[in-house]
Amino acid sequence: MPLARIGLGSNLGDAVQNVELALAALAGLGRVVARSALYRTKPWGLADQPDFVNAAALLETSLEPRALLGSLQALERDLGRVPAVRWGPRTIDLDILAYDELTLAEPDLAIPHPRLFERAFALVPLAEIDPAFRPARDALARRERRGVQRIPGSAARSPTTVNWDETLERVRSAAEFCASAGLARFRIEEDDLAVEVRRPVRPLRAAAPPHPADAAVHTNGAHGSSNGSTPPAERAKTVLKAEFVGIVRFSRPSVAAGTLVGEDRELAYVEALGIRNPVRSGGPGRVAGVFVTDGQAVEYGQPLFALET
Amino acid sequence: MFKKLLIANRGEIAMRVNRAAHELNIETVAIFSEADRASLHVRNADEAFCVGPGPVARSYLNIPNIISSALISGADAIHPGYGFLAENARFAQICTDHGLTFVGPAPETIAQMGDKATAKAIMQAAGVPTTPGTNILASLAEALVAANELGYPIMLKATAGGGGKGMRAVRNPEELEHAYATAQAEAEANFKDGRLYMEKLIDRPRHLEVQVIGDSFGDAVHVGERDCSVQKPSHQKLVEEAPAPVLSERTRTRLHDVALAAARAVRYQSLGTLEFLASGDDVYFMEMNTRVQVEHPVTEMLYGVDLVKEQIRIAAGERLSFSQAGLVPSGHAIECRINAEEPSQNFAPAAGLLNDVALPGGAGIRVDSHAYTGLAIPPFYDSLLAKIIAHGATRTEALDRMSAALADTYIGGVNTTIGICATIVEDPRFREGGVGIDYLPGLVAGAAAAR
Repeated sequence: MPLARIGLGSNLGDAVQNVELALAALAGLGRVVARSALYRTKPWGLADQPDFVNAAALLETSLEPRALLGSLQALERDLGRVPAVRWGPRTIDLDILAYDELTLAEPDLAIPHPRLFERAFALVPLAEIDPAFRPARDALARRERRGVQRIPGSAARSPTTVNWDETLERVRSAAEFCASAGLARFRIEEDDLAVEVRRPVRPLRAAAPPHPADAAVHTNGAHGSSNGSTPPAERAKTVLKAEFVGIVRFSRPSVAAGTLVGEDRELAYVEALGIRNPVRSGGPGRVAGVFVTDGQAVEYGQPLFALET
Repeated sequence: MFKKLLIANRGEIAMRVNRAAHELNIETVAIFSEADRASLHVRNADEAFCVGPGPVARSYLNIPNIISSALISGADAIHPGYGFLAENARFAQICTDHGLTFVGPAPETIAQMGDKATAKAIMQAAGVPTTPGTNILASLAEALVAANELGYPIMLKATAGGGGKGMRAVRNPEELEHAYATAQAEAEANFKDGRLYMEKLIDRPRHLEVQVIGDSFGDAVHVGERDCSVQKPSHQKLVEEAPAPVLSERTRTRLHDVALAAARAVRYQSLGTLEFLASGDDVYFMEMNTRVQVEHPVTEMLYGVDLVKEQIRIAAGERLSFSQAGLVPSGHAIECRINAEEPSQNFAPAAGLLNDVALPGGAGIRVDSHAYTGLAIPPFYDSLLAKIIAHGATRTEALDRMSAALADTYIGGVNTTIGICATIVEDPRFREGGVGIDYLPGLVAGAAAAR
């Protein structure tokens, strides 16, 4: 599937949150393979403008470049709408920086982005997650690179980047170890990967067959299950949308991107005319995105949560 | 004055109300359906809320989401425009219950005038001439007896109908036997109220209406009449003009007087229109519309007033800003409705993409429209794309201006009524003036026969 490099930027309102929301919303256009840390850039020349917050993401998407551009523009509109003030300045900018190895030069769409190689605020975040752009970044003047500063506490993540071959290999070896050691449960944890193997212990046959009956893979809070040689399933993504115009209130404990939902539960409710209209997960899953903030006004059809089931 | 007004409508009328509110320094809140996200009325408002998917029952008639949008945005009033919830007494009451001012008359007035039989009884009591007819009919047997007394042809009407819907002409007892059950079932299906009444059918009448406006201090004025006789076979208006041509001054004055008397009789406190059928010098009250009319710009051009602004000001509790003596008509005004329709296919609505839109302008021309190149016309709504209004010192000048304006108008991508409107304003019979409501159906039938 093609890999698009997306640049994100905001300098209005809560810029950090705008970029975070946009990063979460990108999940609706494909698979976010990696996202950079957030960077703060001093606008030069325009001294009275607020700082820009920038980031980059790698998006595996089936959308053609032009369709992707349209979807990004729609996202800009949707996210730029602080409920629901229009015609105001845009709060988020989304650009296609590059798209596979493609070169395209049309009046309304140029790929790679024509000014990508002069723009430190685009190149610095991108180079962090895509080594192919590091030489270009290093070619920038030092003064320009220094103008783009990583926001403390933010880090690049590859939320769903799992090398499945490698992961399955690890599951298999963990299962074998489990069986040979006679353990019922075994768990290894690394930075962003946790593998847990559970094995039903049968008292009469201590040496179980080398195929674990039940293995679960946890990836940075992600939840999926794989049985034996079944390839990792395509996770179905559901976007929960508001059915009512009202104020969205998060149910406690409130969920965030990455939260695992064990069963059908109320994630939030939309308060309209004094009535609580629950927003339910509809079953177990993982919250892949949160598009609203607690207490925010929402309109009909507004995306609230993305859920992977 | 209001601080923020929610406009519970779409298209050109939402834009019209939006302009009036902005002139009055009132912030605006638009509502829209998912099918109307790209609509101009959404862009021009200060805020906008999506209230539901395309079908009207789930969006523009979605009362909970509309009220919620008003409350969340901090609006203090709701303007319903025309159609949708404009004549829904329950909606007006719900607005009031939530502390929102409904820009229109009191819910009781809407309910009284919305029930055609009740409205007629009230008007009769106020001395307004009404069409000879019956009260609510209890049965077909009663209908047959009543029709014999009135004399055929008669018009069978749904009491909850209006806007040309729920009416059926009947010429003899056999037709009545058949039509009664059908009309009842249709009324039940369309208005959830199957009650019928009957009126004598006025032969080839003209449709004349009088604009009235009253305030909460008991003052009321009329703003003249309009002639809306050019109607589609469905009784929907296509061309409207003011003043009504070929009308004796005696009848004109009488029309104004009875309309004003009627408005006073119901203590009318908003903008409204009394519709009459006219045959020679006889006029009969037909119904009262308790909202702004599509064709209100004709009156605005003729009198140089802003009716929508006045309607909003009055709803906010202000006094009428003009007196009857101050209302002086000047020249002549005419409106053509440009609809996405196919006139030769019985005006069947057309949906599609407007790939090229050129609208007219110039001296004496006003265009109220939400159309632009690239707009997709969804299949869910009224087919009106633009209203072109021409004003001139004389009727001839107004019609010539309209003719020139229509020639400048181009809408590509869907079939429209531009051509038939041009035919009408050039037609010697129409130029002569005083056509009846049978005029346009005859014109269309003639054109079909010529093909």
